[in-house]
Order: sequence, then structure tokens, then C-alpha cells
Amino acid sequence: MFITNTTFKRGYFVKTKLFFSFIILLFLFTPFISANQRHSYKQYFFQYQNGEILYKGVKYTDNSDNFLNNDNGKFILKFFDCNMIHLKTITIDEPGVIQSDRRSFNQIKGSIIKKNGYTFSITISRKFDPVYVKFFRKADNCDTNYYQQKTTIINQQPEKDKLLFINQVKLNPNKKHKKLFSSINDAIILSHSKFIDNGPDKRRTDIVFIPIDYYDYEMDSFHKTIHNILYNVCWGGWTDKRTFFDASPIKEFKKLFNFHYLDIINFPLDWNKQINCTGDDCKEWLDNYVKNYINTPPDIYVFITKSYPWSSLTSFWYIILRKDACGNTLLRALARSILGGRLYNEFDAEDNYADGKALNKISDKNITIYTEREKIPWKHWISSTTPLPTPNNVHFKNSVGAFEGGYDYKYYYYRPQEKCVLHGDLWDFCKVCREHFTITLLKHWIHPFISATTNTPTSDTPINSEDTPILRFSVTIDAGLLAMFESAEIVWFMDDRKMNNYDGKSSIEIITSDIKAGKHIVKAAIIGQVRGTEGFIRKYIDTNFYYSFNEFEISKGRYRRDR
Amino acid sequence: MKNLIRLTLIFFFISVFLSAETDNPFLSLNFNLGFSFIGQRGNNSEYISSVNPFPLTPSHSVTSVGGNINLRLRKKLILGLNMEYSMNKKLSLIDPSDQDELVVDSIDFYNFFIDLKYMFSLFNLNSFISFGAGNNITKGCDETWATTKKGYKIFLPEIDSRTSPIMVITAGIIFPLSDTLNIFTDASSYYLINEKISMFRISLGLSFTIIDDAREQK
Ligand SMILES: [Zn+2]
Repeated sequence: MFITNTTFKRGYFVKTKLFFSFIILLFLFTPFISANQRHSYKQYFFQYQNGEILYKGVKYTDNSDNFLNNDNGKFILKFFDCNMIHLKTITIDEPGVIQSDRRSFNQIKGSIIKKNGYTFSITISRKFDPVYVKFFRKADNCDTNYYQQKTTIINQQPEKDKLLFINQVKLNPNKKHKKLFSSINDAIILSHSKFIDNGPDKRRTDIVFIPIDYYDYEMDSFHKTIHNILYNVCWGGWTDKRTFFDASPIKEFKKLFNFHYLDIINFPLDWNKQINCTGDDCKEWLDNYVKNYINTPPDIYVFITKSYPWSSLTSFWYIILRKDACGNTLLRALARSILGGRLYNEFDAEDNYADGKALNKISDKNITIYTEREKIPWKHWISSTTPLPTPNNVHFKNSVGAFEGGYDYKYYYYRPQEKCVLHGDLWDFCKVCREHFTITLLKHWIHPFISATTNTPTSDTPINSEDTPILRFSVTIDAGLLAMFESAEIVWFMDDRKMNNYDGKSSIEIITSDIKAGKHIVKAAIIGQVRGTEGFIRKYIDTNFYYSFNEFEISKGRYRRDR
Repeated sequence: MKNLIRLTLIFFFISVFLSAETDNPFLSLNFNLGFSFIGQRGNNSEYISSVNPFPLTPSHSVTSVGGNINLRLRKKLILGLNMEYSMNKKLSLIDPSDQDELVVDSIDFYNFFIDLKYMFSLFNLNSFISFGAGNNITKGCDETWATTKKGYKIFLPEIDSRTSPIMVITAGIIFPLSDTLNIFTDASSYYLINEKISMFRISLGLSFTIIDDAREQK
């Protein structure tokens, strides 16, 4: 019994040692393995000029090295011209001599095939699935210079290795690492998914994810990234199980949003430079680009990149997120975009001293340079006993005051609360940012009326009270949005003054002769509170959720000219 | 317009008929420049908010040009064919409720009439009085919108061209400058029969004598 027992223990020990040795070895080799895996290079189809046909390539990034055994495939290439007319099918029976270039990892090059009078050099680079290859033929009679046709290259054996690219014979191997940017003309939208659907796009806020520099075999990874951003806990996840949709005010306004993604291959990061646009022109271009898939122009675009120097970048209407970004990075980016009313950054970089004084005289939204109570934009949140500037200590942990540090500077700029998503906190905005975000959603992003009708003329012809004695206005409410509200009532305004007799009515009549001559605007609005937002807003907001009718004009009457 | 043609024809035949009997044929061509005074129209008590905001059109004067042909019928009786054109003018109207002002063009109009002048000497001056009848024709115009001083829009409906009969009484004095050139001034009172409106006009003009047998016989 004893001996047996010892043997067992020794064996156990030996196995443990082996196991640890293996782990250490693996650990030692990890840099190489990961280096190999991380290595990628850009490869193109190259133009091949043989008489009339010009072939042009597609960029892809290669992460695998599973290609070496699969060099005996039989390939069929189909070529189309710009009018979608099938030009030629080339079957490659014999791959010929295949060489592996070890230094560039996944490349096999140099198979020369003669077929149908054309000479090709095939470079088999790797497998991926499925393969879309674009072939171009220089167009004689077509409007565009090149037409992109998605073609599958069929690799008949073995089944799982589908691959490939054509290279020009004279390709200089030394130039293959030269960085080549993909062209916006090479991008193809494969499909669209509205994966969170809370109603018609027109009356919801549409957020669209777009992959940057992804190839088709990476779409799963793109989808997974979106899933991670929206549904995964973040780095504090062992204590805080909340995710993107648990963060106020997104949580309360969840029904307001539709989320989409577009599977696009080869969409370049510098697309806006390529089309040479600025500002809203870029959005217009992009809206038009996705129009066949998303009819209503989306509100916010979120670009997912595989590598980007920063974890996120926010502009007015678009956000660039690195694929490893967490949901709260998206939350912060949204708060800084037009969705959240362009809140300021509250980070206080340790080494950023602003050279002795505040460079920008900001006192707006969630950042101020002032510590005088009356000058602070969020003074309605500060209790009279809170000292200003507010010391960053345990007594004022949950107080609203003026805490030094924000707007990326350590000093001279003040933020409202110690913690905030915009200060790097996980999911909780400070009360001031939450108020601003909530007001912005209410005032600019909720469109609770499906339709509105009126008998006022839409042109600028003034109304004559003799011909139009009664003006009628009516609205129809979007029940899906109304469901978000704890309480809601339609109220009516003329020229921003509330008309008291029409509360709660969805259609009203106004006698023209009661209205003073001149220009007027009638608006319907809903006044109410979104469920769960009690206490979010302290600032006085007169009205919200307007539906504006056309401006109309009441004339003074008529005058008949005479001698 | 039909009336006008009829009147012209009547004038033509009467003059041919009568002039055949005159001993001293006389024909002159006159041109004049004048001012037509038009009385006020409407009343501030007719004001209706957002219907009739400018009920009162004040009295005003418009510049007018005229011409006529005179033909002697008898020694002291001259038949005239008259035409006057009154050019429109900016009228300033006031809304009595808020003193808002509207500036609007008045409408051009024409007067066509035939008259019979009786020549006589008054304090050694060649004078005449005349009685006439004819038509007042207002030009039509399209509907349009105007804007008041305070920025309100007001509708100006279209106006059809219309003709209304008038009666005219004129008195004038003629100063001879040469054998063939006279200068004259006159004052006319018009009454628009249908509309029961009176107008007044003063003018200064030149008269060119084309035929004067009496003069040649001297
Ligand atoms: Zn904040």
C-alpha cells in the first residue's frame, strides 16, 4: 500500500513537472507565436495587362499559416465586364510549381499557367471562406472606369481551403510589404442587419456599425465585436455587472434606438479623404452610400477598426471605435457626439498643465473655468453648503460642485462631480452630464408624432381670413415612443406661447380672425416624463418634443385698388 | 370700348355734317399737362379686422396728360374730341386700428369724351366753357400681395378693366402766342355717373391751329 502510494505520488510529481515545463516552454515561445499570428501584410491583385483585360486586386490581411498543404486545388475564375456580361471562365488544372516564401509567412507564389492564350501568375496566399474576388475589365462603353463584380473562386479540393489571389509575374517580391491603402471603390456592402429594432427608422435614432478594413472572412469577428461592446461587462466587471444598456440615460431611452450593422468589405479608414469631403457633406455621401440598405439616413455611424491609435474618436455624427473597446467607451463617445449634446471630456491628464491658465474660456455644459457660484453653468445642482472649488475628498464624494481637472487638463478647468463616464468612470454619468444627455435626447432625438396634418397652405401665400376662416391642425402619436413615458400630454403652442384651451387634444381648430395678422407657427408638443428619469432634470425646460407645422401667415385682409 | 367707337363715329359724322355749313373752317390740335384730383373713397367706420383693414382711400391727385382735336361748327361753337391719360400714383393708406401704413399704386385711367365749347370774351380774354360726355376707362391689373410698413401681408385682388360714363364741364382761357400757337389753361369737373364720384382736373396746354380760314380772310 505504502509503495504503491509513493509510486503514485512520484508519477504525479513527474507529470506535474512535465506539465510546468510545457507551460514554460509555451510561455517562452509565445512571443514568436503571437508575432507570427499578428503578422499581416497587405496584398493586392495586380493589374495584368494582356491585350484588353486589366485585372485589379483586393486587399486583405492574412493571419493564418494553414496553407502549405493545400496547393493542389483546381480553380475556376470567372470574369465579368462592366455590363455584367460574362467574359471568360478560366479553369486552372495544374497549379504548377508552388514555392513557399517563408519570410513572408503565408505566401506561395509563382505558379504559371497557360490557358486560352492568357498567362497568369497565381499566388496562393491562404485559405478563407468564402472568397469574393473582384475582377475589373477596363470599360470602353461604361460610365465608370471599372466595374466591380463579386465572384467566387471555387476551390474544388480540398473543400475547406478556398482561396486566392492572382499576382503579376513581374511582381517584385521586395515590394510586397509596401503599404497599400484600399480604395473606397473596392468596398462592397455584403449585407445589412437591423439587429435591434424598436420601430421605423424614421422616428427612431439609428446607430449603424461599419467595419473598417475588414474582409469577408472577418465578418464574424466584426459581429462579435459589436456584441461585446453592447452586451459585455467592462474591465470592472468583477464588481460591476452592468453593461451598455444598463447605463442611464441609455437605459431609460432604450426604445428610442435602432441598431444596425452593415457587412462591408474593404471599407477604408480614410474614406472621407478619398472622396474629398468635409463635415456634413461626408455624412450625406455616406447616407447615400448605404441608402440601398438603410433608407432613412442614419443618425450616428460607429466605425469599428482593427487597429487604431486611440480607443475611440468622436466627431459630431460619427465615432471610431477600436475593436477591443468596451461598451463604456461607446457610451462616452455617444455622450460627446451630437446624440449626447456634445458634452466635454472630463479627463484630467496628469501631465497636462495648460501652461498656467485655461487656454479656452469654456463655461458650458459640464466644464467651466469659473469657481464663482453664479458663473457655473450647473449652479442649479450645487447645494449652498458645498465649497467652491470643491475639495476632492470623501465628504464630497457624491456632491455636485466644481472639481478641478477636466477637459484633458489637470488644473484650471472644473467638472461637476468627482466621478463621471466622461471622467473615465465605468457606467455612471455625473448628474450634470446625465441631465444634459437626457435633455438632448428629449429635445432633439424624440420625434413622438407619426404625422401631422393641417389645412394651411404650404406655400408662402398668406391666408385670407375670408377664404380660410378656420385653421385645422392634428397630429398622430407614435405609440411605441409613448410607451417610454410615465406621463404624457399633448399641448399646443402658437409662436412659442402655450394655447391653454387645447391641452390633451390631438386635433384643434383655430378661428383665423382671432389671430393677429402676420407670421405664425403652430406647434404640437408632448410634455411628460420618461419612465425612470425622475430627478434627472433640474434645469427648467419649457417644452419638449415639438412637432412643428409649417409657418403660415395671416394677411391683414384685402384692399381693392382704384383710381 | 364699344361706346367709345360709337362716340367717335358720332363725332365724326356730326362734325362732317356741321362743318360743311361753316363759313370759316377751323381745326386745332391741343396738348396739355394737368393734375386730376380724386376725392376720398370709403370711410374709417367701414374698418373690419383682417377683412377690410384700409377702408379709407384719401383724396389725392395724379398727373395726367391729354390731347384733343377741336373743330369749329359755328362761329362760337367748337366741337372737341378729348383724350386724357392719368398715370398711377403711390397712395399711402393708414390702418385705423394700429396706424400701420400701406403704400399702394393707384390704378391708371383714361378719359375719352366729346365736348362742345362755347367761345366768348371775358375781360378781353379768349375764354370758353364746354359741356362734354364720354367714358372713363380704368386699366385692369392682376392680383398681387403687398406688405405693410409693419410687415403684414395684404391681398390686392385683380381688377378688371371697366368703363363708366362721365359728364364733363370745363372752363378755360386762351392766350394767343402767334397766329398758329396758343397757350391755354382750363379747369374741368368730371362726374362719374355710375359710381357717383366727382373728379376735378386743371391743365395747362399748347394749341396748334392747323386750319383757320377766318384768319386768312383778314
Ligand atoms: Zn460629467
